[in-house]
Amino acid sequence: MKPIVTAVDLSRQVTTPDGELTILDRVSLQVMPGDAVAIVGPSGSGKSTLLGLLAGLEEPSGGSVQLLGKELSMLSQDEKAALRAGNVGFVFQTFHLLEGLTAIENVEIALELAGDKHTRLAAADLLDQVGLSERVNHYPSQLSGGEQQRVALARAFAVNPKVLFADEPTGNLDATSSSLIAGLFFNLRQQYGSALLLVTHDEVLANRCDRILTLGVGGRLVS
Amino acid sequence: MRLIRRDWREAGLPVIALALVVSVFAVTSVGIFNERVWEAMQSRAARSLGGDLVLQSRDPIPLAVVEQALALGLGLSQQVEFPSMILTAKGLTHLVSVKAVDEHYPLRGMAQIADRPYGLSTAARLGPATGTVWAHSRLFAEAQIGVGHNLQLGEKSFLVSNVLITEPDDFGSFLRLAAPRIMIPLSDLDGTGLITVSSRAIYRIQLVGTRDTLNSFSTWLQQQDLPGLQRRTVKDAQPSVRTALERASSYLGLASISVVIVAGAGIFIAARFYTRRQSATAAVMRCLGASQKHILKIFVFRLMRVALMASCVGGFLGYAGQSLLSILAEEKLGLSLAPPSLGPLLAGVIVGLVTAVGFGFSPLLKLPNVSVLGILRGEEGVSPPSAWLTIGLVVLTIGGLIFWQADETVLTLWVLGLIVCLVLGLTAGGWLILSLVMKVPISRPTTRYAISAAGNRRGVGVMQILAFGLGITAMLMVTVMRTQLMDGWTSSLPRDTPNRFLTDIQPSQRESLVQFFEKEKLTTRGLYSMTRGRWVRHNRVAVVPDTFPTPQAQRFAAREFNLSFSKDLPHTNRIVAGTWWTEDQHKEHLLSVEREFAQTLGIRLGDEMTFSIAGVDVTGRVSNLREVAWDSFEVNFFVITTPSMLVDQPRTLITSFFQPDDKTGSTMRLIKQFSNVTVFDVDSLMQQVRQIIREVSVAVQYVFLFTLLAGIVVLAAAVQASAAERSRDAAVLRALGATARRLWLTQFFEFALLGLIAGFLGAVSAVAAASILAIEVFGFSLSPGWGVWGLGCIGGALGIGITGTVTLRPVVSRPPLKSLISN
Repeated sequence: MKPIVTAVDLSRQVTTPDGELTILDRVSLQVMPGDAVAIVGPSGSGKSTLLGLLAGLEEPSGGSVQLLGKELSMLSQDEKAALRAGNVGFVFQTFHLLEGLTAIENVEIALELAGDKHTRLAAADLLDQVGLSERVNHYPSQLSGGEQQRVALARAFAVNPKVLFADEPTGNLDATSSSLIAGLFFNLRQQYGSALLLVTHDEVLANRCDRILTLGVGGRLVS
Repeated sequence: MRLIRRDWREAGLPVIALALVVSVFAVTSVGIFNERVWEAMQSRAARSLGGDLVLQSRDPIPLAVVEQALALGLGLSQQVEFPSMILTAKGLTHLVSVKAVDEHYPLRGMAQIADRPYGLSTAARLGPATGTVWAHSRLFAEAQIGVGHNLQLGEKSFLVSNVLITEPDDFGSFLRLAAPRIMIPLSDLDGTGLITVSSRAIYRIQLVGTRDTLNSFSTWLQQQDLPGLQRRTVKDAQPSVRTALERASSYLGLASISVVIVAGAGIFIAARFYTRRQSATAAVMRCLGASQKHILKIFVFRLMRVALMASCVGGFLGYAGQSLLSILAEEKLGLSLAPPSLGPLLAGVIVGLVTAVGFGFSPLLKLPNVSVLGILRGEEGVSPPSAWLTIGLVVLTIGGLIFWQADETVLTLWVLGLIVCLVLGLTAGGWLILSLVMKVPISRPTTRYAISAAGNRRGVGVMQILAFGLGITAMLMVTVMRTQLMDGWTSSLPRDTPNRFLTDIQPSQRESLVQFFEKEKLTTRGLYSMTRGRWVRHNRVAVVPDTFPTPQAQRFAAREFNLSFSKDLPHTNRIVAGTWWTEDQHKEHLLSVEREFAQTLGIRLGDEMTFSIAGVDVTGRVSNLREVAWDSFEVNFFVITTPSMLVDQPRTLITSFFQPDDKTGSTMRLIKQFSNVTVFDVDSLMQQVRQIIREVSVAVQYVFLFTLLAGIVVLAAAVQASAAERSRDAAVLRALGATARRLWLTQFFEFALLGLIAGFLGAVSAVAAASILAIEVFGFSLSPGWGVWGLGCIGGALGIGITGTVTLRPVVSRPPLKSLISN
């Protein structure tokens, strides 16, 4: 079985007025299909940056990433986008729903970008699965935080992703919503069999993953 | 510099600064340009006076006045004008109006002379040479003289060297004296022996100089006790030229106001954006215990600091930029522009500060009331600004700025009303159309996103439509409507506009004169009755000219009026107060008075005016006030009466007709057949009015180009105000697999949709505004073509689509992770 995500000596530096700042320092990892990997570490340790680099949302300063068997540095931005469409799902801490679209349209847009022409039924089914069948035509501003994150989950799983990138999916929610979302999240992952890369501060959530990678200050992989 | 750097990093403040730099840049450059072009135009209009300032008296002008003018460096020309008799070589005598001019004459404009009566004219830079005389065409027919003949004036003989076609400053004196003009050198005047202490002469000096020098001289003059010395400036110039200038001024003034309003819309959007971005900071400050007053003080201080800096930068840019524009104006118009003053620079900076307060304050006032809990929840913590406060501040600001520009309450209220209607119309129209567009069933989510991005953020969308709509309205006024307005104005003076006036026609000559016109195939505008009368009582109180407050009112009150009667309202007149008389009222003694004339003399509706006509007092009641299109060159009267009031009074007739260039013989034959009538040639005046129209057309083009520039940059600023949300959306779409092309298309579609709506509404507004302008300011009705709609809709969609997409290039190109993490 081939790994679904491979990173070798992945580094990221940025230039600040005080000189070069290392955010991520030579991180190497492999994620196999269906694996659930939690990335933990203190604030500023480069967790979200690592997630973005693995998903091809940002260019590394050094090292390489292979996503779904493709070397990302060899792909253009549009080729990376095409690779993500239909294969990759995202869940963000601040939901990042498109304000101008209703709940169902937010799910449909992911399907449309993945090339699916019949989006309405599939989107409605997913919203039903996350318990929002009554709120399909509501706009994000009309939904609570927990409901917005459920729409984001539906959007992420709509394309039946081979790999799911999640950045603090419960970080913006209260305890009740957090627990509900976590339950939904792992159930859906199991149902769709997606590999998972999860950035979190939540130990309970991290412990539900197969592996835990810990990043230290300066972006080094500690364990 | 540290403060500037810090302000520059504050999200929103650079946008406000940019909008203010652009608006102040536009206002300052337009202000300076306006001032310089206006002064140059006034200088041209001053030709009808022969100078920037004219002093005249029945007594010789005191030497002290001349010395003071020369000491201040003013250009000065002296003339003496008086009636006299000439004796021709054939022994005929004839009454003439003599004008003796010095070697500096004319200071403004040039006389037109020809080598034969009604021949082709050429411009004369100097007056007649010593021992020679220029005689008006009419004298050649009446006194049977020719070029090269001698004529005797008093004790001196003169050689007739040229035919005097027009003088740059001739019309007023022609009206007063029903005798043809001859012009002689002032140095020959003593030789004639005609001027003695008891002579009925008018002594005149014409002065030219810079505005400051003329002001100094006028101040000095006011301090002197010089009874009988009349003062005339360009404001007293011919009504036709003055009306044209006033219209030009209105148009240029409106143009510069549109810059402020377009910029103001941009500042409001930017301030709203700044407030939203600063809401978290305000919430933290509140948590730390800062009072609401303290928070407000901090943000107001910061806004005003940026406003002051931006206004200064904009002001200096405007000051530098206008010189380039002025060079173009000088080349295009052949105007000699005065050096720019610092006034518009200071005014521009003040306008910047006022605009920042008027458009930027209302969103900012919400910051101290920020919902801390809302911010912590990640919601919008700051509520939208109060609609009433916003409207109040904006109306107050725009009203103040318009009044500052227009300096006239009626025009201010008109323009303000028009702008309020425009803003309300654009807002309501934008809201309605966006709501309708949102209801269109579209199945593709990406297309739906493009539409909903415009429609769902409806508040922002409507604000953008408002800003774009104002910009497009201004731009359409620049292009299509400007051409149509100018064409309309030009066509209000058609080719066959009367260029000759005939007075002193006896009622018994009516039939034969009509036959003469028919035979000569000359176009006339009807014969009007004219009765001369002196105004003797106002509301039964004797009229004493010296008691009127202004010199102009004193002159009006003292002179004889030309009264006329009519059943119908003349077609170039418009009732502005009261009503025109009905057929039943023809037997009553009613008066219709020209509005400005009535204002000058303090005449109101319902007042009684008594005129002494050939020793008989006739009284009438003012039933309406009229606005007269003086630049129509039709026969017009300050006072018109009902037929019954004047029909039995002694009267003559007056008419006007158009004499084509190839029919110069007609006037000669007319004078021969009707020797008692007086012909006035108003070609030169008409040419001045046509020249002013042409100049304004060019000037407005440049003035509105600034509106266009301001509009484009403010549009870009408005687009940037929503950049953060767009950046996040673009990052999400990118993460979900959208290609760059799809993102570009989505952005373009959204802006093109906003542009299409704004373009359509802008076209509606431009047509409405131009139609009102055409009727109210220029006095003609406008029929806009399809071009304005096509340009508005297609130009708006493409222009804003492309501008918006290009402006958002960094948003689309930005690595998605940055937007997703930072949000």
